[in-house]
Amino acid sequence: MIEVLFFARVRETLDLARLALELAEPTTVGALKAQLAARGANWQALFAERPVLAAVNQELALPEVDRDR
Amino acid sequence: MTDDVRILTTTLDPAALTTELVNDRAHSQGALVTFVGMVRDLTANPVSAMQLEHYPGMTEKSLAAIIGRARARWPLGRALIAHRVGMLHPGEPIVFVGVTGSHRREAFAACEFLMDYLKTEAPFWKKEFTPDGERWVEAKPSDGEAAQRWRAAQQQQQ
Repeated sequence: MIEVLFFARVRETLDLARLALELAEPTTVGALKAQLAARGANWQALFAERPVLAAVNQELALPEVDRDR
Repeated sequence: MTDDVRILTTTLDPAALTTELVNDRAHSQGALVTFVGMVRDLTANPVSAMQLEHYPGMTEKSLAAIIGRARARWPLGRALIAHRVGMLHPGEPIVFVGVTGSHRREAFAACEFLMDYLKTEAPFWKKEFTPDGERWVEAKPSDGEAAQRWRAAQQQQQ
């Protein structure tokens, strides 16, 4: 299981600060973003609008970074 | 040699931090360079207040990592980064970066380096309150270009 934290504009748009996700298999930041964008219209708009920065284990991460790096 | 990263929820006092670095540096360090960033008051774009949010834990780690990278490039004495979070008003200091070194050249360079990377890699988010409402301020592309400049300079040296 992973825990996804949301900040600032993203948190306010979604009205959500954290989300626990069960993953069937290891994923990447890019795949996770795509998975989140599929959750609904406001999620999709959020990721389509502007780039969303991501960090894995508190380190800035590029889209191809593995979850367990 | 103490590395300092301080996240402040109350007033940032640049004079006190400067005095601390002057008094606490080793005697071989003849240079101290400081940078103070303040909330701007632009008449064309009035901002009555701003709220600074951060990711506790990651903020401290990323700033310490940036200081570590500066140390790998220049011989430094003290390096101190202090950053405000919470509500701020125009004119208030928001960030302080202070670096001591044996000579001015490395202190100037390291201070600018720390600010450039702080702007691109530390997890701070700024929300501005204006007469037209609230808005989140996205990172400016020019901030990323500033950090990119240091990477290019290093590749040339190698």
